[in-house]
Amino acid sequence: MEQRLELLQGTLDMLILKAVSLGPLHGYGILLRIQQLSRERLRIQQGSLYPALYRLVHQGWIAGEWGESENKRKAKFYRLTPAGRRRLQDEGHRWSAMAEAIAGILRTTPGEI
Amino acid sequence: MNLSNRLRSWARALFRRSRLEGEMDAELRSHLAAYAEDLIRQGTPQDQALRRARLEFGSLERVKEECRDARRAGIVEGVAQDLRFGLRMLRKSPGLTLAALIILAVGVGANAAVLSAVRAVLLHPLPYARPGRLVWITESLPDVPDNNVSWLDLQDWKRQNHVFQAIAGYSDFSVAMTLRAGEPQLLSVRYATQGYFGLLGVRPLLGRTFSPAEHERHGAPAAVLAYSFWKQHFGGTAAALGRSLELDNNAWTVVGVMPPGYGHITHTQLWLPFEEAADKSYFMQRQFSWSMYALARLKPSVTFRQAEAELAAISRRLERQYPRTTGGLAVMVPLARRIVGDLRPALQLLATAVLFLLLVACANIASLMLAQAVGRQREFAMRRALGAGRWRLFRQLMLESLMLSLAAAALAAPLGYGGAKLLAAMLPAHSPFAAAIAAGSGAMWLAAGLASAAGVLFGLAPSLISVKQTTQGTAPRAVYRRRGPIRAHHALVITEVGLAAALLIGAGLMWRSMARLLNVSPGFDARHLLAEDLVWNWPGSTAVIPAQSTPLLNRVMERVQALPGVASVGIGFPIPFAAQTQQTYLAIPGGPRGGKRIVVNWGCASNGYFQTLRIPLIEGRTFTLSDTRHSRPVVVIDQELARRYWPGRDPVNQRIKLGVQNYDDPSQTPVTIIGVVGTVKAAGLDTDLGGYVYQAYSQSPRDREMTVVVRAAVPPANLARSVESALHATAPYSPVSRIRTEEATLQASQATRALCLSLLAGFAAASLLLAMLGVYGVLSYLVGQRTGEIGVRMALGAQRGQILRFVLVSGLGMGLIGIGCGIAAALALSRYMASLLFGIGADDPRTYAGVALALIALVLLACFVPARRAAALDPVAALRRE
Repeated sequence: MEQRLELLQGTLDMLILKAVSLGPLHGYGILLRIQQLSRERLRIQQGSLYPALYRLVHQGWIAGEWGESENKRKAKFYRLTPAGRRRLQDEGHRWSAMAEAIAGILRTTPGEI
Repeated sequence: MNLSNRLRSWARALFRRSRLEGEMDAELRSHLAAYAEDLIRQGTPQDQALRRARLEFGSLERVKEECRDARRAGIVEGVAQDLRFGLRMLRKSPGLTLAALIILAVGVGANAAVLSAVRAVLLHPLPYARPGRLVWITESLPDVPDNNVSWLDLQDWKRQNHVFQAIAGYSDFSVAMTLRAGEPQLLSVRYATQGYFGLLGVRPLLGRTFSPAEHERHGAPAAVLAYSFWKQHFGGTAAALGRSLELDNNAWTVVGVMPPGYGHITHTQLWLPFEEAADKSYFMQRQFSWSMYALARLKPSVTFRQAEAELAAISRRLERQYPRTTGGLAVMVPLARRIVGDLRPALQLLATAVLFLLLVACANIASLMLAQAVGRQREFAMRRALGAGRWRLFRQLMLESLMLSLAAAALAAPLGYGGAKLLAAMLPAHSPFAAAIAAGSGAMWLAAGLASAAGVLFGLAPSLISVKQTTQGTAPRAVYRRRGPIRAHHALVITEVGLAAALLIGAGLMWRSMARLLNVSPGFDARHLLAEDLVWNWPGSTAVIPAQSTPLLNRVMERVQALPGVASVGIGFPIPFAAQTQQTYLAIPGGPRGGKRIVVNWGCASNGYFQTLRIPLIEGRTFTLSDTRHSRPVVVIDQELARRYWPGRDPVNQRIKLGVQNYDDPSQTPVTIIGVVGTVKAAGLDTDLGGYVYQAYSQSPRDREMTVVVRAAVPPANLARSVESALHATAPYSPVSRIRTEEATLQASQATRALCLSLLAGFAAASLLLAMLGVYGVLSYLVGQRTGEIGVRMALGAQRGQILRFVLVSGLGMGLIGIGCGIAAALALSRYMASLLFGIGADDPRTYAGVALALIALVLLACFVPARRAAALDPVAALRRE
């Protein structure tokens, strides 16, 4: 079994935005989508998901709407707002830049300095 | 994130909390159910699935709390929770809460009352447009600072100045209004020169003000009515325009009505054109004034100083040009200051005093709150340990004091409103500001605002200190012995004692002034004196013709004398404390000091006048019935005049001339001095007028107004009606007005000072009480905190006397520092009340020393109970408690 990774601080918001950018999802669905997209390598604390969702709603990046789930259960579906889409782009760029910079540092060999 | 989102979210949080809670609950449940289904699908037995889902999910409540926080709804709900908790805490110590509430409500109520008066009188005294640009102008002579303005001087100022946008003159008089039925009435009129209304920037409510033609001499006699007069006489109908009024035997046509609030300051009932009414001589001769003063509006770019300088330059030029006839050097004063008069320093004094009282109250409550907060250290430590932030505790304490102050505001608002009414009732009778103050407008808002501000003020210190404490110590017991709160207590008590000392010194200065003033003899006996004004009016003519007036007034006196209860009667002008005085020129043969102009106060008196007022006769005789218009013209002078111009000599039988500046002037015949009477403080106990010369009224027919004075053998007010009807019966065309007792007039002349004294004394007493409570409280607290230390000291052999001394000395130390600060503050501030003092300086050492000594004694008294308690401690018990 592959090793499961704990989520890096501050990345959950971005992952949620990405997850709902692919289509409206309810809370549990977001959890499953992220795990699926990470090929089950990322593990998300269930309890930390909802405060993050409420924070994103409050900031206007996602919006929630009641609907019916695949199991005919009433559930709140979240979708990305236009502001959320811009935010996701910014976050994505920042993350890539950061990851690249850190990877660059880690790749450095003694001879290169 | 933008503001509207945030606001919307907050609004939702506030108003739809329950719905959101429900949704949150449903959402989480739906999540758990979905997860449980997945678990079942993965093989978990159905009966365990939901439980496992819950376990893996973690605490639902914690997640919910975090969700609420994420919504930022936390702050609103937290405040609500703090409020509930605060209410419980306030209820838990009802005595303390009640004490704080009452102290604050009284302090704030008193402030609201005084500040609403300050607002009415000092901030909005004048109902005119841009009142700050208006100035009042008078002419000043060496002996007469507020001399009237001469018409010709006014015309020259108007032509030569570059600083005034407009300049106009006015004079206030009384006229007799004759009605078809009923007794004639006396009206207060203001004669206004051309440009008067435009200068003030006031538009009529109805009709118009005077046209240029009406400002011409012998133009059409027109009148503009004050609002109250219009309501009273014409029932407030537009039909008043064009109606005719019979004033002083002439018909005047109503052309306009002014809006409410205009004229009340000067008690003006109607305005008439000055040019139409004044004597002809007045427009031709520079030295004649007709009781006129001038008003001017500064040009927008001109400062008061610039205008003052230019007016003085013009005036000096005129004096050089017409050395013997001009009315004197022009002096200008801001109009508001002139009208507000001595209420200004009085209100400034009271506003300062009442602010001090509020500060004492706040300091007192801060120490109460601080003591309470320190007592709650254990609670705070517990809450900190449970995860409450420092901000949260701070907020809690602030909210508690704010709640207290809002409750106090609710109590203080009616107190302030009632206080404003009380204050208005204490003002001198007829004060133009009484109504504005009594309206108490703004008092409520002031109370609310002040109480909230005070809440923040006194809530802040205890909150900061006690919250800081909790971050330093974890064990509540360790907190107890920190010095922070004790030092804060000391600072508060020193502040209280200092402010109380300053207030007491102010009240002491006022009290000593008043005592001095009451020792001043008015120069006559004001007890049992009734006075009624009579304005001469005769069918067909307002001119006072001696052939008519003398016999009539003799009949008036006979008739009044015959009334039961009347001991004696006299007629004269002016009666002491009549607010206005008249002056005339006096010429002595040879003249004093190089022929300088002598201006003296002028009065006229009948036989019996001096006897009725009990003005002592020093030399010679006073007037009798044998002094008639056919006999030798005679005058009586007062001691002050005799002292100034006949020093060391007997003035009786000396000859002088009145109304001229030079004895050689042939236009007046000489008059003989027949007697010297005592000096009367005619303009008030605190005012030294120059000298007085009295003419026999049978020989001085020039004035229409006179006062009938009656010395009563019964309470004078009981005679008012019978004297009035006797006057009406004998002189049916002459209106009677201003019926009053001289004792009341005497009191009214001191009303402003009495108001200051009583309020200041009240504020000082209240702050003294609070300061003593403060001293007592902090020492009790100190003894309580140091019980262990005292126990150790006693165990080590300290005598009870030493313990007693130790506590007394620490209390006295604070007291002395406070008294020192208070004296310094009083020395710095009391010079602002100098104009309200009489006979003592603002640094009167006896007052300062007396207050200091009294305060030391009172502080020691307040220390004594806690000191006794400390000395009586059982060392064993004290140590055990520790």
